[in-house]
Amino acid sequence: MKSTASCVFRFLEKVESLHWERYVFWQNDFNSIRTALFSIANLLHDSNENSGEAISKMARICLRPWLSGPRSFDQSLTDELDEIDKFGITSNRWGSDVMSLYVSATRSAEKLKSIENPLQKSFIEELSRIVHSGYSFSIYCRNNQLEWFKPIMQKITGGNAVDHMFVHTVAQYRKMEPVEFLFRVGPLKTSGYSCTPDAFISAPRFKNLIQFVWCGCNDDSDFGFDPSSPSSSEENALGHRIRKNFRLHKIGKNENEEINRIEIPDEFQKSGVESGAMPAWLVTLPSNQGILYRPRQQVLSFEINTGRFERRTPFETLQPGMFIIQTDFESVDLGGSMKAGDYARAWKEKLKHEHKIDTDGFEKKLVDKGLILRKLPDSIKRWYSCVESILPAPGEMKHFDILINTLHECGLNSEVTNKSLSDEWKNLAWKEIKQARGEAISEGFQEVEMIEEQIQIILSQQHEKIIEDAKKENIFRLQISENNGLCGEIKFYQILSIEDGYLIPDEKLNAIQELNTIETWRD
Amino acid sequence: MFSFFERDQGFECIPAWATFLMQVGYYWPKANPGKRRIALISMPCDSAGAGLIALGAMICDLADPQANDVDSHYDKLLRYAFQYLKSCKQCDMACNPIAKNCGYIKQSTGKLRSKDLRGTVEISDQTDFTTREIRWIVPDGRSNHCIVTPTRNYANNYYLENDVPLVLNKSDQELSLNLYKSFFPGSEILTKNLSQSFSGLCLAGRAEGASTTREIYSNIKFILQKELEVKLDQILAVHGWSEGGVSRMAFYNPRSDSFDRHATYPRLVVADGYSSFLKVIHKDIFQNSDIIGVFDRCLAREDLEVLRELISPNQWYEDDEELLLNLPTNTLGISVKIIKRRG
Repeated sequence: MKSTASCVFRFLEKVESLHWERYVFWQNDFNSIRTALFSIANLLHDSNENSGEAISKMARICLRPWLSGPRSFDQSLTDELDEIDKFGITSNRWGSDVMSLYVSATRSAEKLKSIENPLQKSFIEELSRIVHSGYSFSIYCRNNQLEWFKPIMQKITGGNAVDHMFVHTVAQYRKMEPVEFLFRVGPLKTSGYSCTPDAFISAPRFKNLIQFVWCGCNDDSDFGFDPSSPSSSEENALGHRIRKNFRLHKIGKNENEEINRIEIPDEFQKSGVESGAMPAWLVTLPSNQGILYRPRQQVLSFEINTGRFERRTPFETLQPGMFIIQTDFESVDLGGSMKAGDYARAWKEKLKHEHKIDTDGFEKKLVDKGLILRKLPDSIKRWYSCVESILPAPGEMKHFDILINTLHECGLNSEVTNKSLSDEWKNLAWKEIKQARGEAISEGFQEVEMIEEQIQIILSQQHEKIIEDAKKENIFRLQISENNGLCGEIKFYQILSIEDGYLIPDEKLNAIQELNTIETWRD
Repeated sequence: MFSFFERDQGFECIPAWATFLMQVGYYWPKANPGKRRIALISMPCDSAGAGLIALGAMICDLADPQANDVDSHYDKLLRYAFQYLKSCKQCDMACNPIAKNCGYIKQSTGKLRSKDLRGTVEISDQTDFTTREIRWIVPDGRSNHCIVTPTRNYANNYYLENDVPLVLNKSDQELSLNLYKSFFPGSEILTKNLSQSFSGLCLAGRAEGASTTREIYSNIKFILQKELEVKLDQILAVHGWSEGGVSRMAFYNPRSDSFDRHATYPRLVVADGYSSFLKVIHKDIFQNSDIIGVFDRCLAREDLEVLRELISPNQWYEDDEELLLNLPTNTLGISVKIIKRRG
């Protein structure tokens, strides 16, 4: 259960000043790798070839695990550099400067294998001190960084359950109980891989912030932003009159060494991203898959506890454990002797003809039969227009019924004289409209309400089966056979986690992809 | 003196943060359409803050002789009759004003309820809009119905179907003078307001809907001298949240984009949460209303940036530092920004 507002305010009153300990680390060989990879990333950033761009991107992000977590300088560092070489960096293709930078980086990585990571060492020491003193604490890291933190935590706590000590998202931070200490590895950035909630500073839920960063990784200058705060001055930055007590610890820096005077890159600085790329949030799914949504995008989802299908927003109402719903509709076999589209063509042509020859008379016929709409003339013109994928037509079956009956009296489909045959023709024409709407749904052309209405009807019909499947599987499918004009399948994926910090163009959104692919869209 | 409970945590008196928010509502100046104000109150956590501000504003309204719907009631009935006879009566669609774009926000069924009698009367098509005379049909249980032309006073006994009664019926109790006065002992609450509805104040609930909003507010409990125990949701006088017959504030549900009553143009809207504030600030019906948004600032940066855009001075709005200085000093952890229309 999350803290009450009164509890948070009482905590803030007790916090006279927020203690912020910032440990900054220098290590010559690690810095050499960083500068080399940063240079490679810059040199190949504007490469005309895809593989050049891929190398640039990999060089930019491959050290992030060491920059954001307490990781050893072991074989995994060399392995990361080898990954870059898979694109053929050691060939002469990219020039001798790139080649020598890469070689220098790999040599430094080899040297580091025998050296203890000073950041990891300090992190363990500080954490152990806090744990053994009995203070309450939390660690803020990304969900996919747990693998570096958990073993350390388990070692320090003697194998106790540690999951509750981690906070990964702003939504979790919002529900966090106030603690004495909060640990963070990496800079305080407002977006991207090291994205941290501004609330760290504007709404602290801790008395002491212990931050570990490598040199060059700067916090964002406007971090701790609050749109209602009238002042952004340093004194008032903690907002709301909570004072900041800041201490900087420089570890490993020797001003006399030449390498320490070289400017160290900030790998978390926003780089020039592809044009059109916009922020996105990742919803992680089983089987190493994920899907990216725009912030605040409403996602059709299912919650097993309440059994409700709703459009929910990631981080807010969409939570891990729920299922996202993906649809995959095929075309519908309409049956009958006419091909799909023929029915619409027939009635639309007749409607256009009848409306043009006697506009008022035809409209009056429809009104007399009960087709009363406020803007009937406009509606009729819209109905006989043709738009690809969506068939403009009356929204309700009863209105369509009146329209077709009237057209039938005017000679539509005059070869059909039998009433039951006429009804069948009408039903098939209606089915065609629904099918067109179904196709529009799968292609994203139709309105959100339309999608919801159609799919929710199907889902409510299969409610019990869905609950049953959701209890057993984290991915399952529902086959839909010509239900409400839709044919295909509806897939359910259980959400494992939700993360922000991605930049992606529109066309990559809303599609399930491998996590490895998604990782390249890290901001 | 009240003691205060939030969930099961008790306090000897109302905490400073809750007092501050109630005072913001209470001391909020009377809205002036030419000087529309928008305020954004940033909280360090999730809270029932919007409900507390609405409570303060409601108590302030109880002392305002103009803060009731009596004067505008007959006009409201006329508008309702006009909508019914000229639009809804002929409409063949299942009511969906947004899809139909008919300009109304809620269906007019043409039916009116009496505050004292069972059953409904129906607006007659003999209603004369040129002379502003409403006529309704009273069914007599047989085939003969009689048509009534009510006086303005008599019409006050009737209210729109699915709306809130204007005045109390015989069996309902009026709102408690002592209770509301205890929050602000200096307030000059008018007893007639305790038995009359008012729609000039609007509470815009949470994005999750009315029931979630109510549940959050029900976590706040006030106990007056160990005798009277009330929950925040019960004393807000929102229609349907308590047993009382009159309602002193309209409720807007951002989830369903609907109101608890027919068209009102409130002078003050209190929006609960980020999404609710966004909905309210863009809604046509609130374009002349003052708006106070309350949000938990533990939000993603993108959302904070959106709020910054909305609350920044621009060619139409400027910072309202004067009002900021006149409001009570804000509590540690709460920040307030106010802008007002230039002019």
